[in-house]
Amino acid sequence: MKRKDLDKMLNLIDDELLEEAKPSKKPKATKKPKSYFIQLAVCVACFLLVLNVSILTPILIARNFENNGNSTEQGTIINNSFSNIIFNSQGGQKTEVVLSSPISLIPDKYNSLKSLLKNKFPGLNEDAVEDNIKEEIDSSDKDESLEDATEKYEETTDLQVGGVVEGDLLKRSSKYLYYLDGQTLRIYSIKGNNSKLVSLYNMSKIYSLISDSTKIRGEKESTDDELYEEVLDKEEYDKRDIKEMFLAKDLKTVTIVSQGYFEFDDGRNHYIRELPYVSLISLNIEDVNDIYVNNISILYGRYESARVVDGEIIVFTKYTPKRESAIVPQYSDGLGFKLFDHDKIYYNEETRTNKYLLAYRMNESTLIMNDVGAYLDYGDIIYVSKDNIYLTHEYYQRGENEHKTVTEILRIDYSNGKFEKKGVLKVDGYLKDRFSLDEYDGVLRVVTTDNTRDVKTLDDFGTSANLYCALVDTMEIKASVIRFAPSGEIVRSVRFKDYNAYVCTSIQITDPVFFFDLGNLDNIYYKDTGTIPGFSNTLVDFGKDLLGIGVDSDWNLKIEVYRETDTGVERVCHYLVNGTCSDEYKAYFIDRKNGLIGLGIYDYNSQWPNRYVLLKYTGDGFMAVIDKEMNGDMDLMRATLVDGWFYIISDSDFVVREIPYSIAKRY
Amino acid sequence: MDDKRIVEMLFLRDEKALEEAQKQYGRLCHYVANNILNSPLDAQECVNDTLLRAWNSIPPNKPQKLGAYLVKIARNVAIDKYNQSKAIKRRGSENALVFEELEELITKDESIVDELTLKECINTFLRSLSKARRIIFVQRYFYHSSIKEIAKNNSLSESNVKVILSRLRDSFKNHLKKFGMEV
Repeated sequence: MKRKDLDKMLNLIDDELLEEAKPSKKPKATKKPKSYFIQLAVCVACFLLVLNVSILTPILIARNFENNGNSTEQGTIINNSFSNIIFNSQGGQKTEVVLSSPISLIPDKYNSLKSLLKNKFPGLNEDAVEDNIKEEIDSSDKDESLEDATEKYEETTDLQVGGVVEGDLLKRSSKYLYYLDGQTLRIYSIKGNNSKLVSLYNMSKIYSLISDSTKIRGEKESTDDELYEEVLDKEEYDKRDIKEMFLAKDLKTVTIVSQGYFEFDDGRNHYIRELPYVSLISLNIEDVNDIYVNNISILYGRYESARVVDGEIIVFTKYTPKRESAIVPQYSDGLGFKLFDHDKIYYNEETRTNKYLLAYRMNESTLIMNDVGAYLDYGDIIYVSKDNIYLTHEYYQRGENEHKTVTEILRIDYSNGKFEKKGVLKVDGYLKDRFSLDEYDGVLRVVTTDNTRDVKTLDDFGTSANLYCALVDTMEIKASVIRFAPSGEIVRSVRFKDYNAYVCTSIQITDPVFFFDLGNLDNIYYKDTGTIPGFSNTLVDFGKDLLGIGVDSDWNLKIEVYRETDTGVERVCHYLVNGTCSDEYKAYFIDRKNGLIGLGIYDYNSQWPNRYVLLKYTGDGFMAVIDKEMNGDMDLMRATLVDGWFYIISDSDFVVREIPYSIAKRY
Repeated sequence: MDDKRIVEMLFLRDEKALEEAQKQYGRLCHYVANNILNSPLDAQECVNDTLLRAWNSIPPNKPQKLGAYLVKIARNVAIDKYNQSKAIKRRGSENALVFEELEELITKDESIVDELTLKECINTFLRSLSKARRIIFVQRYFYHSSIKEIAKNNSLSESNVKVILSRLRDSFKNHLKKFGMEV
């Protein structure tokens, strides 16, 4: 897109949206002072970090470098089968590609990571912790009831597909809560009002070693400046992007996923190479007071998402080579980087770009690579069912008569230990998010926003919504409902449950919610609410009813319940806040059995705008069980309910509240 | 005086309408122009040009929201001025930083995109965001507000705003693709 188009586009923003965002002075949120202990813990952690980095790290690196600094094996791969990869984006011309040999992208001290694994890296050395921190990190805590109980894994994330575990900031066992706070893993005991921070594990030291191990020194191997970005604000860059974590079901390891960049240092300037990587750190947490690094893995690409299924972690990253010689992605097998084999790269005659979605499957605890796959063009949206991975690719099709967005959905079967490419399904329109896809009973269901336009008149047909049902085995469409939403509407949110589909569409700030019955694909029928104020950004199946989280006609936060009736769909009740909430689905606490929904909000009318609310749905209305000020970013707030105690954790707060039995039964 | 009355006065060619528009929206127009040009004097000149263009364009136009109409003109006038003057570019402004951030969306793609598609594209994107995120996006890329100011207005830390903006640019990039725009 050209700059003038971008300028023009920004000038076409609807007037009401400009008014809404008009810069004005709002009262600044007053924040409660952070807990004294947390502040102190952070200070001590920083002190220890400085001590460790400044004293220990050079020694370790020096030692590792002596042992391994020159041990990286070099290899040259030329004239192999990759040389003829055709990129249609380059005019469909065959290009002889001279590939980078893997060594060119292996940093000189990569192998020091292997030595790193031989050393235990305690996060906070208990001996060095001052007395007042010891009070909070009560490692000598001996609660008989906890000691005797058998510890087991409990899921805290509201998973899209049962058994397909998603990463999150909060995970738990029956004894402990594990919360990932930036580079620190915080572990709390689960003991109601007596819950305490029992362990802190700070990973800054490990990340600084990883950064150093992935740094490339010496002169730039290319003068192409597009490959490098000079780091002017090193301090800002060092704030590594920590993504999420997984707790193993055997409770032996926690795997932490974060984003980094291969760096380059020529002694004068510091650059980030235009090459992101994802680091996986597996921590042994069998003894929460003696946590150490179990394994580390570095993967090519920018992090997209990950799942854990049956003890295997599947990680998805995006990789866009900036030059032809780097066209084939690489992966680490624990000994160094290797090029992807030819049969692991999927592309077809219609491949349009050089953007890969890379998929890696590894043992969750050892991080040993079991299989890899690279998919050119795909990965706009990733949906993982129990047996299949679905990757989408959207493109704009300019036909003779009409222009429209088309989405291709590629099915990859991963049930037999390997990634196996299966069929491709093409549908009109684009998807909202991963909740727009669902596999159930051998059928893949898809909801799209259809933006087909007449090319001759350039008349806007008006966007609408489509629903497709395709057979998983053949990826052929079995049934569809085309343009079911009123003209001009776009899909706001989708949720599937068993044979039902729920779709919220809207045009500006009014919406219908549709209930589909997909039990008989030869006779799909649906009902809707008719036009109602506002719309839902998220739909949640909530027992017999449907919960929508979105906005009302004044853009206030609205939590609403919908119910199917004989004649249509009715609104049962709603809860309004003059404020906003997180868009992050994982930040919502959802307890269908007890009818509870919890989320962090920003309340414009409150003296303490940052709040956490827990609502009880009574069947005909909402009751606020908790409405409490809370420090921290609402995207990072998480909560869980254990035996009648509700735990709320954010990046700077930890709150426990007792919930009466009448509100939440114990399951 | 409400927008409707001011527009009516413009239709009647009553010059008092300009005074009223200046009183009500002059500050906002000055704010945007100053963010782009980094010069209060040049920004004031833009406000005067804005009012003149409004006088010449109403009628035939009949804006429903006069504030938004005027601020769009002010932004255009300021960007034109910015593009024409090397001296202003050397002076540095929030505009330079904003364009630097948007640089990743700009290509040499020569395909012609019609106004309807552009309008649909930007508004469907903005409406898919939460109110908080949308406000941050519009304040940064339409009003050219500084990171510091956005952070203050939205009770966030500056680094938090930077992270949010970076994610928004990524989503926007994906959204542009859906409308056939090469990025």
